[in-house]
Amino acid sequence: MNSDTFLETKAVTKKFGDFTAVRDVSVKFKRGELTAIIGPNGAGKSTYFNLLTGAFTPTSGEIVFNGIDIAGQPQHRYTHLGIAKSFQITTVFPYLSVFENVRLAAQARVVTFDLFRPRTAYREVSEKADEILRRVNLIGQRERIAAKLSHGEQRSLEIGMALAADPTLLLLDEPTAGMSPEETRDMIDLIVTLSADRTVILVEHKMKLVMSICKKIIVLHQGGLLAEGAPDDVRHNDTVKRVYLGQKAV
Amino acid sequence: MSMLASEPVKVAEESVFRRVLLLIARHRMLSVTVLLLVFPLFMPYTSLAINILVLGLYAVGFNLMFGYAGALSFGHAAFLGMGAYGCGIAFVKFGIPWLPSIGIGVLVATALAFVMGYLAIRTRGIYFAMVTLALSQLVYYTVFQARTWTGGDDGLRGVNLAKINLVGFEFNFLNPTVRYYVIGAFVLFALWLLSRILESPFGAVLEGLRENEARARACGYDVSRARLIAFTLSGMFCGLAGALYALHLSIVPIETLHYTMSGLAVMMAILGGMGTFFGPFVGAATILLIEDLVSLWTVHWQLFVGAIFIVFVLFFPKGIWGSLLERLRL
Ligand SMILES: Nc1ncnc2c1ncn2[C@@H]1O[C@H](COP(=O)(O)OP(=O)(O)OP(=O)(O)O)[C@@H](O)[C@H]1O
Ligand SMILES: [Mg+2]
Repeated sequence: MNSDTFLETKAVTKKFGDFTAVRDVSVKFKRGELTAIIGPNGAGKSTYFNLLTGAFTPTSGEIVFNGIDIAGQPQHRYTHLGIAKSFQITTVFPYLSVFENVRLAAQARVVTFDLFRPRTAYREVSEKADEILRRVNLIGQRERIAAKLSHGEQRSLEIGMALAADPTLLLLDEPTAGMSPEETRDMIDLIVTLSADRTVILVEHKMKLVMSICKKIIVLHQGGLLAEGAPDDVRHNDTVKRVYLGQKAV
Repeated sequence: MSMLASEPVKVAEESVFRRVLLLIARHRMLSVTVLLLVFPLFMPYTSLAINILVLGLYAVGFNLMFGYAGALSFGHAAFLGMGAYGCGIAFVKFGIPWLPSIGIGVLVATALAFVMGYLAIRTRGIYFAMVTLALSQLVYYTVFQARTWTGGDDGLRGVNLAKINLVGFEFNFLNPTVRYYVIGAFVLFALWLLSRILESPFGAVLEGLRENEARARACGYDVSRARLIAFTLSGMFCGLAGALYALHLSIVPIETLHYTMSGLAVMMAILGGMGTFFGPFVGAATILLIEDLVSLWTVHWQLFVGAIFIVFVLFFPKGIWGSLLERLRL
């Protein structure tokens, strides 16, 4: 294994009954390299993403993270290995405050089963939550109920919650889905900043968006790996043009 | 003119009311202590106050799983019942003193909750309700059959506790007022414990489970284990309620284990306000008071409870206490 290969999938396949959503995908992800997984609707991006985050167990194949095969480990272990994610559909704790959302996420790495000390006694957890809220520009909304935030703010909150786990690998499923152009720009800036300190892999539908910021693109189509490489290589790949980009002028 | 005159008074009244409720919600251990001390004064008779206390604690235990961890169990009568039988059998058949007998009741209920939880915890929603119901029915029939130990359908008789020694003093447990305050002390202790748990990091995890299980898992929490611990704790509180119930009634009726008792916990928690600290007590007080008052002139008191329950489910799904809190935006 190459030393800067951080994460690798070896022939992973995921079947739902008879239907193969992801087929034999082998990809190497390099440490620190901002990578995008793209592909048309139903290509298997979210399924592949869920395999990487442990939400699904592959039907066959290996997922090697830092040299260890982690496929089949319980999902909550992934966070402790340093892998965190945000969902395609915004998933926060709706009726907890913005602060408590992030505090609870930060707490996971520190303590779960302490039943007697007040949660406020874990000062380092609360401080970290505030630090993250500042980072994702939500400190002003600290006391608000998460459900009352705008869509874009909720997406930022979710990324904040992922960051609270101190991930070395951050996985984002369509982080800009449903965002206004302005919110999208802010989110892209945030992603670029975050990718300076950790490996970020994102699933994206909007092709143009990722071409400019990512170092590597992975194209999925009908569950299979169609192409991978630098944005320019992918852009000029004939098969990719035909099945994916053909619809829109590039 | 009269409107103008009455207006400021109303505002003042409301703000006093609001302030009182705010105070109660903010300082819950202090207010629960005060309420507990004066509660019998407002009740028609002390024994009813004790019933409310004990079944209120039962609803509180149930609410830990239902309102805080977000899972509806239909088998909590098993924990109330095993707490009661555990304490009663230790006391009657083994002649163990009352205080350790309570401990045994709690232990038996907690152990049962752990086993039932272990079997049920991987199921969700309606399946969780069904599995817990089925397991609690199993407990019901086992106890029903074990006549020599449990008295079968006659119930376990002779849980007669007359005198108790506490901190060097002798108390007459047959005196309702004494009994109220002794049982009240246990309930208070349980509520203090619960309050600590809710404030703890684990309490935060429970809220997370209720709010969004997928997110809690993604945060790195072992959801199954947290649910199992919540269920076990919930059974522990219900077991304590059961043990106190046995000493209070001086008999353990087989109905303690009946599935309608599980249903009662659901009703009390929903009517009072699920996921709130005081809600279950408010629910218990409401239902038991209605039973007491209405059953004076009709045997169909359950019709009243049912009607009120339906009104609340339809129009005030947060229950009595929950709706009050919401009005005050606490
Ligand atoms: N849990 C599931 N059970 C059965 N089929 C599924 C399941 N999840 C996804 N699929 C199917 O697998 C295929 C790939 O879905 P996936 O969500 O991975 O696509 P995607 O590339 O993320 O699409 P989108 O751009 O719409 O998010 C689809 O045909 C989908 O219907
Ligand atoms: Mg998707």
